Amino acid sequence: MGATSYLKRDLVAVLYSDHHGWLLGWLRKKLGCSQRAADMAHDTFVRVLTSSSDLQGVREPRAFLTTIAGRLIIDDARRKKVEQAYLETWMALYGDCAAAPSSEELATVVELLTEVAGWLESLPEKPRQAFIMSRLDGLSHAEIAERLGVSVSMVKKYVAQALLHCLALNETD
Amino acid sequence: MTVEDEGPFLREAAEWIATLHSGAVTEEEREACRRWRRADVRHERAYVRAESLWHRLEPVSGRHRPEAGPVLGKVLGPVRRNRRASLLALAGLLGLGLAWWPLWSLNLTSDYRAAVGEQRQVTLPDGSSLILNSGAAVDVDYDGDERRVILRDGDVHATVAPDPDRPFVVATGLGSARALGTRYTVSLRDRNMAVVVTESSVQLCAAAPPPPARHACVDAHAGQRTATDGKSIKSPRGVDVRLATAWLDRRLVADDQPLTTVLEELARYRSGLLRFDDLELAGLRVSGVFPLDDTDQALALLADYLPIQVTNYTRWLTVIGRR
Repeated sequence: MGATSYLKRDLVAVLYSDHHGWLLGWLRKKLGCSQRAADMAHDTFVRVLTSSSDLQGVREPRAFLTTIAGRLIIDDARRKKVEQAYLETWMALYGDCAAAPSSEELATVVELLTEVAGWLESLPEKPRQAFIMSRLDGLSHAEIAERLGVSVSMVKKYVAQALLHCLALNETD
Repeated sequence: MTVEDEGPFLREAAEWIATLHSGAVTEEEREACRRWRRADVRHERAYVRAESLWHRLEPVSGRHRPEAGPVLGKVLGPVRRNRRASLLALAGLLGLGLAWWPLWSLNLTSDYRAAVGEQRQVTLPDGSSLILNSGAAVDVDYDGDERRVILRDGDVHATVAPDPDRPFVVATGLGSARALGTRYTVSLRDRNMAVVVTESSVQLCAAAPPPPARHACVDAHAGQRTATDGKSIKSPRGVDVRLATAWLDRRLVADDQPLTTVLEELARYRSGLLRFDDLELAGLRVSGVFPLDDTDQALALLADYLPIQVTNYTRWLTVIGRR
C-alpha cells in the first residue's frame, strides 16, 4: 500500500513536470483567463493525485489530463448554475424576509446538489423526476405516479433505476 | 472481481430501497427485505451501499431543505418548467406580508412534547394526566408546594388528581391557571392564553396586571372559557366545551373565523411549511368542521368552497393563494 502510493507520487511528479505547462496552455485557450486556468491546472493534478485510477496504465497522458480537466470545468460550471438556481429559488420561495442559510451551510448544500445534478443529468426525464420527487421532495410513489401519469409500480422502477445510476456514477468519481 | 462482489446485486438493493421509501410499504415487504439481506453477504453489502447513498442525500431532502427539489428541477432543465414558472410567479406574491411558519415545534428541551401531527398522553407522578396537542411542549415541576406544569406552546388538557394540599397549576409566561382537582384545557398562542373548563372550576391569574392591580384573577367554572394576554383577563363566558376542545377528538371547528386563523391553526398539525399571504387572503371567512389527522384533506375541503388554490411544491412546502 505504502509502496503503491510512493510510486504514484513519483508518477504524478513526472506527469507534472512533463505536461503541466502544456495543460496550462490548453486551459488558458479554453477558458480565456489565465488565473482560472492556473486554478484548474492545479485542481487537475490534485484530482490525479487523489483518484484511484491506475496511472501506469495511462498511454496518452495529455488526453488523460484534458479529460480530467474537462470534467472539472463542467463541474465548475454546474456548481455555478446550482448556486444561481439556489439563490433564485430561495428568493422566489421565501423572499428576503427569511434568514438565508449560513454561507457554510449553503456551500455544503450546493456541493451536494451539484454532485447529484451531475449524476441525474444523464438520466431520462421520468426516472430523474421520480427520483427527485421521492428522495428530495418526500412524495409517496402514489403521488408521483399521479404527477407523472404513470403506474405506481413504474414509479418504483424509475426510482430504483435512478438510484442504481447514481450508485454507478458515484463509484467512478 | 472477488467471489464476494456485491455489484450484481445492486439493482435488487436499489429496488428494495425504492420499496421501503414508497410511502406505502407493508410489514410483509419489510420482512421480505430483511430476509433478502440475510440470505447472502453480498446482498447485505449491496444493500448497505445503496442505502448509504440514499442516506447521504438527507441534507438536501425536503425535510431540511424544502427548496432543494425545486433547485435541482431548475438546474436540470425543461422537465419541471411548469413548476419553475409558477415558482417564479410566486416571487411577487410572496414578497410582502409573509406568514413565514416559524419552526415553532423546536421546543426540543422541554420535558414533554408532542410531535407535529400527534397527540401525546402523559401521566404525572401524582396520577394527574395531560394530553398534549400537536407540537405542544410542557415542563413539569413537582418539587415545590404546588404541582406546576409550564406550558411553552400549544394546547394541553389536564385531568387533575384531587389534592387539597397541593394546588395544580398550568403556567405560561402570560398567566397561571390553578385548580384543586378538575379537568381543563389551557391553550397558548403567542400573545394569548386561554382556559376552557370541562369540570369543576379553575382560577386564572394574569402574570403582569398593570398597577393598581385589579381583577388580577378570575374564577371560571365548568362550561366556561376565559383568557389573558398577560395584563388583563376576559370575564368568563359560557362555551360549548366539546367544540372549544374539539382537538381532543382530532377535529378543528371553525365558526365564522378568518381563513388565515384557520390556516394558522392547521399549520400546527403539519410537519411541512404552510405558506400564505395574510393580505391576499384577508376577508375570506370559514365555518365548518375539519379533520386534524389529515390536514391535506382539510385544505382540500377549504379549497372546495373558497376561492383559494392549494399548491403542494413538495411534501414539506404548501402554498395557499387566491384562485
